[in-house]
Formats: sequence, structure tokens, C-alpha cells
Amino acid sequence: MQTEESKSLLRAMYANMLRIRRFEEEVFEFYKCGKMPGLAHLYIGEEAVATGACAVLRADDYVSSTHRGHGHLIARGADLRKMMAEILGRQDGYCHGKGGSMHIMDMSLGILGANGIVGGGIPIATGAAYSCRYRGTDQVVLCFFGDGASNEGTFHESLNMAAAWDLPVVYIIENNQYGITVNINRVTREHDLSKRAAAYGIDGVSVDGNDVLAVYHAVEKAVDNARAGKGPTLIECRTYRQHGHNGNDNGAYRAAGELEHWLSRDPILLFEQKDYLDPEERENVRAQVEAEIRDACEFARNSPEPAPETLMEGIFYEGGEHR
Amino acid sequence: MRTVYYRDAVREAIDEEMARDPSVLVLGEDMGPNGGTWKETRGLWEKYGDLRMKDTPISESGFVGMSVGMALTGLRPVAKVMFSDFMLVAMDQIANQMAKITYMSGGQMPVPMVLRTTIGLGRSSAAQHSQNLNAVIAHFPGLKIAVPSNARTAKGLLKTAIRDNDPVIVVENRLHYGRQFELPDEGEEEELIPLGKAAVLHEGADLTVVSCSEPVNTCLRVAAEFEKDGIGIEVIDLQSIRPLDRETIIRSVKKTGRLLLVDEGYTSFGITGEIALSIMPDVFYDLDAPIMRLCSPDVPVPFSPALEKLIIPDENRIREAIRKML
Amino acid sequence: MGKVVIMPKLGYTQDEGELIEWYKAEGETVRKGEAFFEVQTDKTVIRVDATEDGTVLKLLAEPGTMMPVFTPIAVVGQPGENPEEILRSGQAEGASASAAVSAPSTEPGSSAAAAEDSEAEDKTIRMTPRARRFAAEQQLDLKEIAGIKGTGYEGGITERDIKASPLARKMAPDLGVDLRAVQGSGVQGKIRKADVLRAAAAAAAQEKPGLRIAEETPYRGTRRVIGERLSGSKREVPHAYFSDSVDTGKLTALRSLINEEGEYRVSISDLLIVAAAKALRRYPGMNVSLQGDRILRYESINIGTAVAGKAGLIVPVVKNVQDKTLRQIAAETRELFPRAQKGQLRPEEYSGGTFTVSNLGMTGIEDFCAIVNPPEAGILAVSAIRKKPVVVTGEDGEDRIEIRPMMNIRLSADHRLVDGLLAAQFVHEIRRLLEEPTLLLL
Repeated sequence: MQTEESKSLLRAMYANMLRIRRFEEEVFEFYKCGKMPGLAHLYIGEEAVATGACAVLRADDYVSSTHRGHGHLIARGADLRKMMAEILGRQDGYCHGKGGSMHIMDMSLGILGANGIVGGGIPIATGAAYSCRYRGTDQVVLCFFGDGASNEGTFHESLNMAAAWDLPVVYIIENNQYGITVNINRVTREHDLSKRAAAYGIDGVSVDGNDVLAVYHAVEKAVDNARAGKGPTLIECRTYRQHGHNGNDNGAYRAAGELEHWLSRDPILLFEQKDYLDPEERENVRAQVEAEIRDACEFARNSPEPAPETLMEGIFYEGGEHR
Repeated sequence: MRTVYYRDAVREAIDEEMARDPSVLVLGEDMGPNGGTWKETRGLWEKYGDLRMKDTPISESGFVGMSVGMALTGLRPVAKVMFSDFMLVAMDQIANQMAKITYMSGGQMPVPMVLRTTIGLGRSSAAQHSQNLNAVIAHFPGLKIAVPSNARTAKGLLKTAIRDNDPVIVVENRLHYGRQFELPDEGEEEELIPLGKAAVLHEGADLTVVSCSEPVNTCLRVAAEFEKDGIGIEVIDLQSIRPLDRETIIRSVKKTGRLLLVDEGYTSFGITGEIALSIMPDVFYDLDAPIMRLCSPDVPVPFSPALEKLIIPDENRIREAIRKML
Repeated sequence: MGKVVIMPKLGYTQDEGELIEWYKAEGETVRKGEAFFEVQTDKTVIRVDATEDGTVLKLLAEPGTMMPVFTPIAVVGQPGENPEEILRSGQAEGASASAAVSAPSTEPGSSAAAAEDSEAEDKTIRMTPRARRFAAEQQLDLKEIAGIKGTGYEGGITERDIKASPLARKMAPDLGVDLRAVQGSGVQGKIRKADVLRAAAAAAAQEKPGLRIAEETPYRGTRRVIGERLSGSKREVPHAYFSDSVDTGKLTALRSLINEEGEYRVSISDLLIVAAAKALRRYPGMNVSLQGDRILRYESINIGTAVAGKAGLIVPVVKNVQDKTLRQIAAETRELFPRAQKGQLRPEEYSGGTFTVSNLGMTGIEDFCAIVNPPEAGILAVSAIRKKPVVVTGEDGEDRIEIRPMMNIRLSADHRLVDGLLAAQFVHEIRRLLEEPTLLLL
């Protein structure tokens, strides 16, 4: 990790984690002052997972996301302006105000979509992987979901089929400890979620989800295998949801000292403690991210609300000929 | 014209579309070497190989969701959910994903996929293998639903559905697979029956009967009987229930002043009530009798033939319903 | 303010009437006393006269429709008045609605009650939306419709209950088919497309081998009533005919004499009435009628005279001729006959006859047989006066041929009631009276 190439990767990963953090903080600001309609499922504290994983991908790979999806989209390079505009329900958003925070999609970046249904995106990602096989490409699908989704039926159905057919997909459990307000340990006996891979005859690994490089290396290996036709991998990234499930909650469900412990292991803090980048460079990155975020917020704020006549548009595809 | 089994008409549709477009593939339970639950894809696994004729595990949610992922990434999957009842297992993928992604994404992406499923009363398949859930699936904006009543429409609608850029559920009838129907000769210009167009199969001036799937054929027999008595029953085959061809229904009701809706689904909150109310503003002053319906009663489909026959909209019940309105 | 014309109650037991014909169209003026329309009750066809001057603003009933008594059938008023308004206020007035027509034996009390009833019925009438729209489009009176027995769902009144199918209605004019003459084959007799096509085809077929139809008129109204009465008579009554030839030299001389005197004018018809009455008086066995299982012999001698009216044969009756002078009779016929020709007789003016004279003399006919007009027992057919060579026995006992104005008379008698001898004597008596007409003045 001392080459120029790795230096620029580290810089990019740092920038990305900051970008996600600052974006989510602004989302929360909008939410708190009533400018963001709906629910704000914030990714704060989990930035290293999306950042490390997506850093592995090629431009033509696919990503499927979740209701807590802003981080995945940003890590995949989504347009911050269009994201923020969508989150505010504006005309210039990714979905022209039709989808909102949980349904942002950008197929030009291979983003199969955030998803409001827990576990809903897992079979879709699996189908995309089948498509890669079918079309004979060496594309790979990264499928993000939480510990909560790992107890949905679609998780098992999808891993079973992906394993049976060696599909090029990497399943990433973001174990942020909570399904809404319920700690994973209260509803699951086996706390090592990656062990579930064994049931489907595939590799499973658990990593520190707050260590961006640990995530990166685990995903890199899994993606290489998938690209080489060796089938799927299940990676559990252990992390922590620093905010409430959506918007704000009082966190009464958290154990004493739990939040403090995880704040001391904040992924950005951990990265900075490693001194991968010198303080001046970090400051440059911060300034650059700050400018991007301010620009996105400004853009979103100025974007008009969708016109009433657009209400019934897009129920069916109106884009004309589709190959 | 030639006489073909319905199952062969379905197979022809899939075969022709797979041959025409390499992005078309089939997946579902028993779709591989077995050649389909009702042998409706016989020979295609041998012809197109395992990747394009994919046997899936019994994971309806999984493979329907996969189909959505395929459709988003350049393929045109044709998934088969063996019984209509099993769609309920995959309902999140059908209603929350397949139906809505296009709209949720602000119209960015089409979801060009077909979901074939089956209905059909009269086989003692009981409450979890006999339901007509057309009303359930028709409830969701973003879905198109085709309901063929014979081999010609089964083929023509399925081909159109496969080419359509939106998710289409094609509801075939299990009773039809082993039945023979007339079909245009092979080599003639292929027939693509448009979605959202109903067909007037029998003209009449005294009463309109609107139906879909097998009851259409029952209605046609009843209409032929009434014709002998000089009573004109106009029989409309919906062909699609979404989009619903309101214009054809309205035009007919304006002529006859009487509308009977026949459906194998449950009576309450079904497609009959929906059709009646959706056309009401257009035909209110044309009605010479209240709009009536004949459906399955609100009871889970019973097993015993002695009980099941009581819920089927058969010729007698249709005849009675018509008489009551004339 | 205009008047609402109602379906009159013309008989004590009558509760509905069929409107047979309008004599006035919408927009035409109608004068008091003029025939306005014709109604068929269960017993007879009756002409109804207007009782007000005015313009026909609206006709509410089609010929051929049955209407409950007291329901509005027309509106008469001044040009420019709104018939709907008149109708509304007329209905509100109830009993006064009947004022616009002379309706024999109308009971005003029950009229008001009926009007109120149908008012209430207006609101509760069970009628399909389609039927309501049709009624509105055709400006049909809901009260008229309320009387219809519905054949629709749970007895509701449907469109077909008040009309033919839309297609049939649309096609009929194009094919020259009169829907009123078409028998419907649809449910409840609805006229359908097929019926119209059949009627058109039948008309076309009739036209074929050298047989062209100039006009087709429905067999109904006065013609039908007369027709059914005549065919009934010809079927039921054994007709016997008795004829003679009358020398009318003195008869025409007497007529000329009276008319030249100028006090009053008489016609041959008047003289025939008197002759018939006098003969009947002498032979009362002719002045009879078969009523079921009883034979009535009348004291009244009421002589009907067949007159060609606007709508067909009509027989005005001069009542109690035995009590009247020639002068009185002449005065009566002068008033009665022209009205008969115009179709303006009241029912009592053409009913109650005991014997009929049918005089076709003015047509130049040589001889004809008439059909007995039941329940009368005889009818006298009177033909034209023609100059003929007649063998006359002079006072000297010599026969010689003279040219005389001769007229054939022929009695048709109901042989059940009248024997041949009586009939012959009766005919002979008439001849005697006509050949010595001073006897008529006695």
C-alpha cells in the first residue's frame, strides 16, 4: 500500500467515506428542518463497507442496494446533485421525485437500485448475476444488504441458486447490529453470519466492517473469484449504525456504552489514525468534499418540485424501443 | 386453419420468440428436461440448452426476483409460476419490485419480463391450487395482465407479452393445455394480439356478457343457444384485464343496455366489480338493467367435485343470470 | 293560459283508452267544436271535439298507444306559450285539466284523484336510466309511462317497454317501414332489427309480380270498427234480399214543389227517412232487434242514414221519426249530415238506430245489396233514379210502354227476425209510399 497507485486509492477511499458522512449529515439536517420528506435511513458509521467494497469494482459491474443505500450509491459514483434532489423530492432528482431516498437507481453506473423492502434486492442482484453468465461477460454483482435481510427468505433462496449455478455475485451483509431496534443477537443464535455460507457450499468470511482496507481486501478476493467463474461469496462486514433506524430515535435499545465504543471505532477516525494520508492531504480532501456537498445541497434546494402533470408518467416504460 | 393443442400453441410462441431474440430465456419449476408442467415447453430444453431453459428450485420469490434482475440487465426472461396461488409466495417481487421499478426509478428502466401462470376450476385442485387471483395482480399499477381463452390468443398474447417492455403476467388456463383449438396455419403471418384490446367474439343486441379465460367459451355456447330463440347475446373476451379495454365494453353496453360480467374469481372485490364501476359513468344512461355479475362465491375453492361444481360459472348459471336480466 | 287535454273517460267502466288518431297536428289551430282526436274505448271508437279555440302546442301520445284516463295527451294554447309550463300548471290544477275537451260522463272528482295519484307515481316510478333518458329525449310524459307494466329487472320499466330497439328505429325510415305496423319478435314484443328487415322484405316481395303498392295504411280506427261490425254481421246474420222498382215521378215532383215553396228544403234522403218510418209503423215486426236471447221490438223509430265520412262510413241517426214532421226531419238532417261528413258526431248521434237507409242514388248505381247494420233487423239500399221503359196499364186497360224515372230499392233483412212475407209487404209499402208521396205528408 505504498505505491502511487495505492496512494491514490487510499485518497479516493478517504474522500468517499467523507463524502458519504457529509452527505448524510446534510440529509439529516434537511430531515430535521422538515425539508426532506419521508424517512432518512442514514449510513453514518458504515461508510467503510460501501467504500471498501465498491473500490474493487469495474465500471461495468453491478451493485444492488438497500433502504439504507445512500452510501452504496455514493461509493459507486452516483451524482450527488441528483441524489440530494431526489431525496428532497425534486424534479431534477434521479427519479424526478417519484422514488425518493429508498429507490434511487442509476443503470448507467450499474446501480440496480436501492430497495425499500428488506431482502427485496437480493434476488434481483442474483438475476443480474445470471444475466452476466447468460451474456457471457465477466461482470460481477455486488449485493449489499443488512443483518436484518439475512433472515429473509430471499437471502436463502438467492444464495442457494447463485451457489448452484456459480453465479458471479458477492453477497455483503452489513451487520450493523440492528434490525430496526432489535439487536441481531436477540433474534439469531449463530452470531457469525458468514457461517451461513457453508449451508450453500460457498465461501464465507467475516471482516471488520469499519476497516475500509479489510473490507477492500475481502471483497477483492471474492470479486476475483466471481469474475473467474468460481461462484459467489458471502462476506459479513461487522459495523455499527450510529444513528437511529430512520431519522432520529432515542436509542433506548442500545446497551450502555455501546454507542461510545463504536464511536471510538468510527471508520473515518480509524482511517485517520492509521496516517495513510498526511494531515494536509486530508485537509485538501475535506475541502474538496465540502465543496461537492455544498454544491449538491444548493442544486437540490434550487430544483423545482415535480409538476403535477408528471404524476402519471412512467408507470410503464415510455423510453421507446428497448433492446 | 389447423387444429392444435393449446400447449403446442404456447410452445410455438415461446419457441418462435426464443429463436427470434437471443435475450429471451425461460425459467421456473419443471421448465427444463421435463418440458413444462403441462408439457407446454416440450423439446425446448433440448433445442436451446440449460442456460435458456432453466429449471429452478421451488423458490418462487427467488426466481421471480431474479427475473427482475435479468430484465434490468438486458434479458427478456419468461418465468413460470406453476399455479396462480403460488404467486402469493412471490408477491413482494411481483407487486413491489417487478411492478414498480419503472415508476420508482422515474421511468429510467423498463422491466421487460413475462410471468406465466395458470388458473382453472374443475380439477379438484382445492383451495391452494385453484384460485383465480387476477383481481389481486390486476390491483397493482405497473403490471399488464393478459388472460387468453383459447390457443390463438394464448399464442398471440404471449408473443406480444414477450416483446413488451413492461412486466406482463400471462394467465393461462390449465384446462386448456390438453384441448384442441383452431390456429392459423404455420407459415402464415405471425399473429401478435395487442395487450389491452378486448375482442367481440359473438355479436348481439340484447345483452353484453364480458368474461375472460375459460368462462368465455362457456358464454359462447350459451349465446349460441339464446340466438336460436332470437335473443342476441354479445360476448366479449377481455383478452387483457390490464390495460382494460373499456372502450369495447362501453360501446357494446351502449348498444345492448345490459351487462353481465362473468368471472371465475371470487365475487367480492373482484375484477367484475371493478369493470362495472369503471365504465359506469360512460354507460349510466344506457343501462336498461343493473349491471350484474356471476363469479365464484366467496368461499375457498372446495376439493370435492360435488362441491366444486357448485362454484363454477357453468352454462346453467350463466343462462339463469342472463334470463334474470332480460 | 293554455289547456291540458286529457284522455277522457268516455264510459263508466273505462279506465284507459287507445288514442286512434289526431285530427290536428302540432302547430295547427283548432276551433271549439272541431273534431280533435279519436279514441277507441273497449266498446267503440269515439271522436272527441275541442272545447276551446287555440293552437295545438304539443301532442303527448302517439296514435296506437293506450293511455289511462285523465292522463294528459295534448296541450292547447296560444302560439309561443311553453307547453311544459302549461303541463306543469295543468297537472297541478288537476281537475281543470279536463276542461279542454268535452268528455261525456267524465267524473271531475275522480279526475282530480287520479291526477294526484299519478303525480305521486312520477317520483316513485321504477324506470331504468336508459328508459328515463329515452323518455327525456322523446319528451314523453312520465305519467304516461307510469301506466306501463315494466318487464325489466324486478319489474322496472325498460327502454324496450316504451319503444323498439334503437337499431330498428334507425333502420325503419330508411327501409320505408312503418314501425307501428311491425309485429315485434323480440323479448316482450320488442321490435328488433330482424323484424324491420322482415317487414321490408315482405313489402318488397309483395311488390314483385306486377303488383305495386301505392299506399299502405294501418287497418284501425273507424275503418276497423266498421269492418269488424260488418264482417260480424255478414257471418252471423242470415241475409235475405227483397227488391222492387219504384216510379219516382211523383216523389221528385213533390220534392221540387216543397223546395220551390221555399219554406224549407227537403232532400230525397229526408223523404226516404219518412217513408221508412211510415212503413215500419205499419209493419212493426220490422222494427226489431236481436239482443242475445231476446228480440226487442222498439216503439221508437230511429232511422239511420249511411253517410260517407272523412274517416269512413258513418250513420247519423234521426231519433223518434214517428213523432216528427218532414220539416223537422229536414231541419235535423241539414245540421246532422254535414257534421257526419266531417266526422264531428257525438257518439249518441250515431248510435241507437232501429233501421237504416243507405242511399247511393247520387252515384248513379243501378242496384246494390247492403249489409244489415246490427243489431238492427233491416237496411234499405236505395239506388239511382233512371229513366226506363215501363209497361203501364192505362185507365183504359191498355198496356203501353212509357218512359218513367225508375229507382231500385232493395231490403236486406235479418231472416232470423223477419220472415219473407213481412219483408215483401214492407218493401211493397215503401214502394207505395214513394210512388204516392203525398202519403208521406199525412
